[in-house]
Amino acid sequence: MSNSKNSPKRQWRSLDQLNAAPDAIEQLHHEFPEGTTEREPTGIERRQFMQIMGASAAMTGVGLTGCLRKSSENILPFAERPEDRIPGVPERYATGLWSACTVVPALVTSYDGRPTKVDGNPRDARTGGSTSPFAQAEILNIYDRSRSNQPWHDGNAARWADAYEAMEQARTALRANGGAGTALVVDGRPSPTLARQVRELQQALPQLQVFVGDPIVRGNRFAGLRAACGDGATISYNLSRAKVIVSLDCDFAGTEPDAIANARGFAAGRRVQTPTDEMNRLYVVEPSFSATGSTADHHLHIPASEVGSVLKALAQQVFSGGVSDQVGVGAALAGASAPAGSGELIAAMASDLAANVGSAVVMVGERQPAWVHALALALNQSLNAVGGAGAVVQLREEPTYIEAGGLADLQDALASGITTLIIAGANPAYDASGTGMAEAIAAVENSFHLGYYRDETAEVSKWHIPQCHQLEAWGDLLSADGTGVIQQPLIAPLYISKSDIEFLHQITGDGSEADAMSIVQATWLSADRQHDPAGTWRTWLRDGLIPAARPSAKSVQAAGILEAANFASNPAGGDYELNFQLDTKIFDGRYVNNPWLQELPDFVTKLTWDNAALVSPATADELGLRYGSGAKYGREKVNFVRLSANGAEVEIPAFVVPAVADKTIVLPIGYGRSIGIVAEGAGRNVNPIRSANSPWIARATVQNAGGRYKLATTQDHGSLVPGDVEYYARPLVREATLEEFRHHPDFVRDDDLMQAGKINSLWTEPNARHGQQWGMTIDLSTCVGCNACVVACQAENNISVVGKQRVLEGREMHWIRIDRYFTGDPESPEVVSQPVGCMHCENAPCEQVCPVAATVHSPEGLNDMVYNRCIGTRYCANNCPYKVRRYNFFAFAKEDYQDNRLITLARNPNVTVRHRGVMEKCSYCVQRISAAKLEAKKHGTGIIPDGQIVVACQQACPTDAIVFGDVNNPNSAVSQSKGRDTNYGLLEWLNTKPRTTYLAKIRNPNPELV
Amino acid sequence: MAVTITDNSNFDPVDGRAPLILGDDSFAGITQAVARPMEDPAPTALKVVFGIGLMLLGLLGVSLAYLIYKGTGIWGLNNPVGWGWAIVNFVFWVGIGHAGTLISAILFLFRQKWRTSINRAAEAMTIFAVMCALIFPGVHVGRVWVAYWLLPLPNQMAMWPNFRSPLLWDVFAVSIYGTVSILFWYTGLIPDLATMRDRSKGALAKKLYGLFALGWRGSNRHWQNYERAYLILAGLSTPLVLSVHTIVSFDFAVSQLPGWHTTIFPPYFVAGAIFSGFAMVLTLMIPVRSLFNLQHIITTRHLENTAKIILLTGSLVGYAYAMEFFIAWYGGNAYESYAFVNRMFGPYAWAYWTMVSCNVITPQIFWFKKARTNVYILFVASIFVNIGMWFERFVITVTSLHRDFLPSSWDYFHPTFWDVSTFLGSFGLFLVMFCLFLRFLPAVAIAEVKAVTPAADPHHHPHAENGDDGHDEGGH
Repeated sequence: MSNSKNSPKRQWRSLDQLNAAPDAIEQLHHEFPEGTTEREPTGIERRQFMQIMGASAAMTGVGLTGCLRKSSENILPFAERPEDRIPGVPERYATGLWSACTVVPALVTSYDGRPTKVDGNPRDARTGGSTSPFAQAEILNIYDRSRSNQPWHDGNAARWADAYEAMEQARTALRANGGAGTALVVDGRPSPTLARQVRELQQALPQLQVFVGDPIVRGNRFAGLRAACGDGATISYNLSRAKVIVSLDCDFAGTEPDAIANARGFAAGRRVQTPTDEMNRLYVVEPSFSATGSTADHHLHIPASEVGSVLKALAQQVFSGGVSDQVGVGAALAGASAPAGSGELIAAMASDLAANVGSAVVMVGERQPAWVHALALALNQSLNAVGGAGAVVQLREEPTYIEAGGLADLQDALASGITTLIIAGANPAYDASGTGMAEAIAAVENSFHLGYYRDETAEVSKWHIPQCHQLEAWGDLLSADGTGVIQQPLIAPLYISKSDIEFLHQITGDGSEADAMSIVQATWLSADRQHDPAGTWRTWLRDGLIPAARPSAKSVQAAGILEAANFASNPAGGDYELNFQLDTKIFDGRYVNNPWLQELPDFVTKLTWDNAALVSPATADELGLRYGSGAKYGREKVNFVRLSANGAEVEIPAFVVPAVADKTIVLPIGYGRSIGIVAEGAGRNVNPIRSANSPWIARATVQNAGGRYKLATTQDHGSLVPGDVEYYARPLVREATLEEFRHHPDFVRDDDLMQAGKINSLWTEPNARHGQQWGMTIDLSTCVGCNACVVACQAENNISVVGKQRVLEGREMHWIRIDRYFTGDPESPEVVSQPVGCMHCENAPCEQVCPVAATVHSPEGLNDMVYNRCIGTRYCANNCPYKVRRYNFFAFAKEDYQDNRLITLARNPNVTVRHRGVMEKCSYCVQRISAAKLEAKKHGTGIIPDGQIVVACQQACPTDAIVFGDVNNPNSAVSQSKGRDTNYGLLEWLNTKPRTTYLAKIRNPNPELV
Repeated sequence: MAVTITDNSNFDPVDGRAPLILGDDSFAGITQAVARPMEDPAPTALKVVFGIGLMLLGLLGVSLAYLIYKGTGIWGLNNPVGWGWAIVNFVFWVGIGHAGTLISAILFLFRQKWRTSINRAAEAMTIFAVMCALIFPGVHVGRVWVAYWLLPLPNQMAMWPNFRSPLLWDVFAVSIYGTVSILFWYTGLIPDLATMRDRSKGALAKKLYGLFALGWRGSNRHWQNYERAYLILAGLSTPLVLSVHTIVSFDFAVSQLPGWHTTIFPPYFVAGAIFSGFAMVLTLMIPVRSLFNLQHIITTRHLENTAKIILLTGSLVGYAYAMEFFIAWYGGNAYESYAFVNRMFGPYAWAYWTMVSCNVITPQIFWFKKARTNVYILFVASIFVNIGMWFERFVITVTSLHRDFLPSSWDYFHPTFWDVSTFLGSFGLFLVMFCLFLRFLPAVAIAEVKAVTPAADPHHHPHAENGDDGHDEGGH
């Protein structure tokens, strides 16, 4: 039995910490009684024991009715209703988010002035109103009780007045000395206002040194673009026009910039509705499966350091195959040799690329060094992929480009006499923790740090100023195609805090009084239009989008590429290669304190609350690592590995995953931070073993460090191979190649266990189909496993976060999960994914067995869950063949509240917060259906038009894999979808008649390779 | 007394039946022997067992209080495994509760006279086992304070339970079974309560026994009515013996989980229940008869008969195991066959093989008469059967749940301290109740036992082996 205080696994779960920080907002809540159920379930302390004895006595005396828990609430009624406010009707504001290095035009839902849900802006053609898990989880970043809430000076809490005075002094000094000895580090987001501010500063203070603090923005892609196209270039893709996509270590639908639009474009070219449809083909070369890689038609796993030579060999074969080398990079390809075992694939890719000139593209991921990016640009140019609006690849001038160095340059500058350092919203001490950045910053005489958390950089800076959230401040963004987005504040900052735009104005500006809105307006409205008689500003705010100005195109030049390729070398030494990667949940560590993202299972590993060294089974055997039997039940007790590289050592649990390149260790970055109660204790920081010149690929000596560590996964590993001893044939995910589909369009029926006509009901089915009947289809061909649906559902439906311990216990609460199975040969498996939520069976097994009728069928075909009536027998969950029901084993919602009282602000008021002891599950977002029904009854015929209801998962899905609507209307999108040949129901032979059905997965392998 | 028979197990029923009651089989002697445990000072062993029982009962109280305070999460349940030890314990205890009524009712209807020595204690065991069983479905629900919604109580919402749910059938089946068992038991107790009323010296005891004896005077008319009532109740109980575990098995069989969804469950569960109930009878009777010197009333022959039933039902259960596997294979449903292969060779193989060894292999020793008549072997074997039958329910409940249709949801169940403590605590309740029963109520049905002695069968032909008049002293 573990004592809760000693347990390091407990995330976001300590009342002590809660009480330690004097939060202004929380003090408002102090009239509410302290909770009593914060402890671990498996231990009793003396006081608790007394409580139990008391409860036991009470039971015998007064019976059990005294256990109903109702909290008292105070309400603040409006004496006068604010104008335009209709009670119960949320406001939606168009704004934009800079989320995981991607600009997301957004519509944010706000109830009574508190933002509760982020959705994409459907006006934006590139994202089509879809989002990413990062953007969905942004809401919890606002209501994060660990965010910085006051200034700090030399490690002590400071008063704002002193902070203002210090900033003013710094400003005067800066203005006086022309920026000498001063370094400014700014955030890397493409903000026209930020760019304008920096450019103006650079003009006014010529000696000021400016750096961009975001290591992803100023990373390999940037360097590659600079080498190929010169300064200030940016790249975006239009994948819907691509027929052949070669992804070189590029998780373009997951963690790479502009992932939402890329996923969307990719899916558009992949959606096969009839056997005659065309379909794109995806080749992926990467060290281990990424979410994008899992959708590939051909996947090659090799160490990241060898991806460059694949590109060289590929380019060579493309050029020798009749495509002219338009840029003239042939010299760089001399002596290219493909890695062992890749020859056949490279030949096939080359001929496929050559056969699809104009609609073929090579994409390179951030992990690859700059020369690979540059070379790929040259190849794309030669493949006629680069060009104007109609082309697959667009290279253009980046209007927000600023002349600034990166983190490595900052390090050099700090070593040469910087006396004042101003960091506006970056965290170099963590991002570059392998290079002694923290020590360098600590040595600076006068340093200011604006940050959302009191993070690693704040610790070493003289002054720390709290930064406000991007939904709390005015700002602007330019999305990848140049579309502008004005960010407008949805809520006043929860704590006194500054946006980086305000901070920059304060600490470097000309001393004028200016609020953030006028600073942003000054960028967008020319001086004479400040009055804006045409109402342009209002239109922009309402639409959330400013149409892209025609950007000037950039072209690819050979010189830089050849030069970059000359320096191409891979790190040497060590026995093993380390491939660092952006985490699919917390990115580079910036979302580490977000519980939704921490608890989100990684698509491939299904790991939550931790990072781990991902190794192949062969590498694990070589190192003598424990896996296998312990890995059966999702409670993986694994060994640690000790990685030595870059003069540092890191110990991290090792997790065995199929299809990782041998002798290679894949390391998700971003963990091991102690900036908040969620981040605390989650994972290990691997940044110390990353070096400045090769941050993503390293060589290391690796040892088995023994030990035991429990990793919390939500799904064990397994394959679905028919005939497999462990599974037998389970046609859960049905798939075929395009070729097979064309010859045999109803291939999905082959896997039916029972013919449709032979399945009969015992009794008359309760659900006569009249009126509107809701149903859903999920297209397995276009699901890229991005997890956006999972977080969107969590945000929409007030789903509790349970913490690592509870995930280990198998009690995660997600209403929709993405099942991932490996198929085929364990050495080179394929991956299939299947989002599974409640199927809303017409003949629901759960409804029949509930003794109190707490789960019943609605007249519209929903399988409704009546929380009030549920007594928690869990029989429904046992009888659910899809295992989608989630049970409140404890008062999870209450625990969430005790851990972070701000969480109540994020709640969706239209969805009941569930009590302990009740079952919950996907409701098809019944609150959205009801809202649409009310609308239809008030303003229409009472029939909800098709497309009016968009459920949360569907809304978030960047690939439109999820379709929802009225299955009783033959013309609705969902009926069309269900009418397709590939439509099938999961476990249909049980006669559950699921309302959610799947469209089988179609792959398009190269016939040459089959 | 010419011959003192100490072992009546060797008498061939064809050649001549051995007496069921040995030693002093006079009416007075029997009354004396049965009443002594209630009148003499309690033996130390009983006090020790009672003390242990009280401690375990306290543990049950703490476990249940913590459960209600904290939630069902204190158990090892997880997402696929929604039912764990609570349901296992429920079925285990209900199963044990089968022997009593079977002995009292079915053996009564079949005129099995040997039942009279053990039926009282077995019925008491039944009632206490049903009490233990009823705890679990009550507290395993997430919101205990509204568990009464399971009952069809009229309410202002006009909200009825779902009559299609086997859990609701369970509520009816078990509560009817409990009620009828108590009535049956009490009816049988009435003449003996009157005996105790007449024997007791304390005023309070006299009052209480008198109150519950309902004015019994042993008149012919009383006996007439009594026997009629007893027969009717036996008739009522007989179908209940079969129905209650049939319906408990529906909890599983009506669902569609592979491993649960099988038509063999009702007979299989009933056989298993009788099996475990008789094993528990042995476990209890062997110490009780020696502790209270009742070996001449609860004789080796009684134990041997019990062992024979265990052998029969154990073999039935073994047959059911085999048949489940056969059908899983023969049915050709991959999900179903996986569920059974997984039982044998999956992560819970240890539980499966424990079950098979205890339930199928152990009873086979009762093919040998030596084993059937040796109290030590009988006792050890009965313990094994008890363990095996608990594991049977564990195997059915947990191994089926932990890996069902979608491999993505598979998990493993780890019991926690609270799982164990609640189970042990239920034994506390059982022991306390049983010790109280032994101390305050006649553990053997005095009146019924007398009916199977020669004295209850007056006749005129001589008993040649007993000399001239053919009768013992005190004869008839």
